[in-house]
Amino acid sequence: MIKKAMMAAACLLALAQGLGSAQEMRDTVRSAKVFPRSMAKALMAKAARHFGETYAKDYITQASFSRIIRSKGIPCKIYLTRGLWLSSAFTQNYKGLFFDEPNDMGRYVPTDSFVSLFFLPGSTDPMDIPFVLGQGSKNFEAYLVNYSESFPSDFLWHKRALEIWGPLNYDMRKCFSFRITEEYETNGKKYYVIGFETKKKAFPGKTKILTEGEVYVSEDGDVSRISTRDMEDRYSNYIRNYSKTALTPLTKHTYSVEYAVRNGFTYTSSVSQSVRWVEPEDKTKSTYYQLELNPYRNPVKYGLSTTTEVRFSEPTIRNKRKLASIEKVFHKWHEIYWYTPDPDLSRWKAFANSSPDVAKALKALDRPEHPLDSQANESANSEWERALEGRKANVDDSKKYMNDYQELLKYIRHLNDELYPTK
Amino acid sequence: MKISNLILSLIPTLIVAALLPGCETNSPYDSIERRGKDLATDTKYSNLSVDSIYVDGAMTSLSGHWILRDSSMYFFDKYSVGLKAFSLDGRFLYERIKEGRGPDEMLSPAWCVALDGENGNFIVHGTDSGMSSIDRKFAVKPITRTWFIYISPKFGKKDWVDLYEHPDPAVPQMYEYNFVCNRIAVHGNRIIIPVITEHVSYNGYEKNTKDFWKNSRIFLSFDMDDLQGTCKIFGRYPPVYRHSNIPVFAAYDFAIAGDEIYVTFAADPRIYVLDMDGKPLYSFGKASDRISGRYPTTHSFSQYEKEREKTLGKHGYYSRIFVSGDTVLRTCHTDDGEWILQHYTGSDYAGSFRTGLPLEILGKIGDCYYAFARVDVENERFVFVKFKI
Repeated sequence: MIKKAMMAAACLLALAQGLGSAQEMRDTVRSAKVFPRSMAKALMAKAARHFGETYAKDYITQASFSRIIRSKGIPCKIYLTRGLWLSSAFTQNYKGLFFDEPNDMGRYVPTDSFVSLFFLPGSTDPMDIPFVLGQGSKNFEAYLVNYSESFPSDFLWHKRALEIWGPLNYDMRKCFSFRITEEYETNGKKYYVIGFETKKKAFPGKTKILTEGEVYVSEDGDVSRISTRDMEDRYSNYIRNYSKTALTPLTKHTYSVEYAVRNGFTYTSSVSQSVRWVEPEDKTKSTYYQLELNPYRNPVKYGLSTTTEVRFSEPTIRNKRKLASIEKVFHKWHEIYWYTPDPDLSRWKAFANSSPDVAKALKALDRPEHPLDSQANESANSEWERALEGRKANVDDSKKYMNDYQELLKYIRHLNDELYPTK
Repeated sequence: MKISNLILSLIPTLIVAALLPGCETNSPYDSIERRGKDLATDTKYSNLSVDSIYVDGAMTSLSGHWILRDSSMYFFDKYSVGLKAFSLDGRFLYERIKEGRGPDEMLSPAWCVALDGENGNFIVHGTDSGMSSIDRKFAVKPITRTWFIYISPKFGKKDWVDLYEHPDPAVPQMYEYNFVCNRIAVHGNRIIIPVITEHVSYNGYEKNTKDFWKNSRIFLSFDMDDLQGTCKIFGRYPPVYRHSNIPVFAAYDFAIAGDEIYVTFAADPRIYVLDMDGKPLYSFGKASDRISGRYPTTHSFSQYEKEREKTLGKHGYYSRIFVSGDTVLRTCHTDDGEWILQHYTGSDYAGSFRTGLPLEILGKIGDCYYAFARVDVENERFVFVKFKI
């Protein structure tokens, strides 16, 4: 009787809110169901144990990155890169310091990429100053002056922080409170959305992340997604601040990781991050928290926001010996992540068909004075010029460096075609 | 008098006698002549004329080096290759030098720039530590690649490992550009660079390296056309740095006038005048009554890093120096957080006046001094002041 009354009330509420479809009403009714907290804890424990046991490692996968920087909603710059990701230890099991972890961004080599120039809204001239760093101390004024519009290498570090210090680690469960917020059914299997929140006393002593979010799990413990809001990640950033309370945030952000299960292994299928800059309430602090460096100075004035995403293909598991030999090649070229010489723009225009955001950004950045083709070459060539100049003292060495890279590219592209043949 | 009383009465004398040799600093500055008298009056600067000049910085990184030449101000961006010229009233005129390897191109932005007074060339210290000159037609001529690597062959008897294990302040490879000074200078064919040791254990941060303040050099110089054959290091910190370990106040600034180098140190009220080989000639300078000169000791690098900004804000010190003809100007930060400018005529103290900001005086055109005052971050512009004394 009570259940019927609750359902009726929920239906009325849904109608009042203007929810149209029957599906939406059903979901609303389900979300109105109250679950005991003990059930949430038990489900989370099961999911975390299962996650740790089935987490895939020692594999190669294909990765496609996209990143769009916007000012007041208008795209300023886009990064698109696709390549091979070597995941020798891309796992929650590493317990060392985050910068010692063997899996850093050095295990990625692009087979193809496109990086546009940077245009502020209303400007026809591209900005030619990619970064300003180290100006003053980490006070508020430094935040107004400093910036870096290069690809943030810490983007995937947050995933590691979330897995090591978050609720997906079985040993970290006590640092979070849980409640089931939703139950739904797909293909005859029940799924739950478990809301979690860092317990205030657990941060930053017992866990290095302060956040709230949701974990999506099936009734048999498979984790399909974890998403967080405004996570303060003290693990991934070089913050020399030992404050026992939360730092004043400079960003509002969401961070999500999706997982898939194949042949009994749980692997990462995509990671996405959305960041926008906000005016802090207190501008007198000596240290603030921001998920990534602002891509241009005075980010609130310029209304800056970024979206960054990576999609991984199904992994190819390899034995450690085989991986080690490939890793040697990957590691040698860790300096250049995002640029390939002579970028092929037509492939990226095709990629845009699967991503409306990318298509919109490419359209907005295609300027009559700077067509995308010339931007592709200009940004890649200037980056290569810097790479060659920075490393080699004479022209012969530069030539050798470039030849070595061409060899590597050939090898990676061959490996890519072998593992992921075009259908 | 009892013998015990006699001994007791002698103790203070013995202590003083024992300490006396320790008071000798054995510094090259000990025996130099002290010049200057106080000519200051309180009303001298009541008719000071000051105007502000605003320069649009929207297409710059807001960080860089300004040079005044003839009737233009030149901005060398720290993060972007090239220079931008502005008129004396702040109007943008033109930009020159692109990124590249051509005759009017450079590969790196400028960390620091000096004006060659003889021919008006700019001497640029790049972010890659290479040096180039830019003539009046904006043709670029490389002087050297990374200078601290190219000085090595002449001093090649000690390699990196030797110096690591046995630091030697007399060896130029020990030194790197001293960023805190943020200035280079040119005298004839010679480039003068402020330097500091980069050694992990031979530096001014740890309290047990007092020897550093006695023996380390503060300048490195070389001729533009013969870096390896003419490279030398010279100049020392004055005795005030041996009394307590105060690396927070180790900054110094210098200016060249004629064949003399004027050097001012943050913690020392005296301005030291050296010849071009670094030999001290004489000193002058008045201690501001708003700078106590009592500085907290630093015991470690981590303490330095943690407390530097806060300590600098709480204490008075001497900062930038500018010399033009008979006039010497020096900016000072007072104990109560004010910025003042000391004015000297020759070696004599003429007075001081409040500036409110840490001025970087760029030069004098006619009767007017032009000084960079601050970056207005919110409005993305540079603020300069023009004043007459």
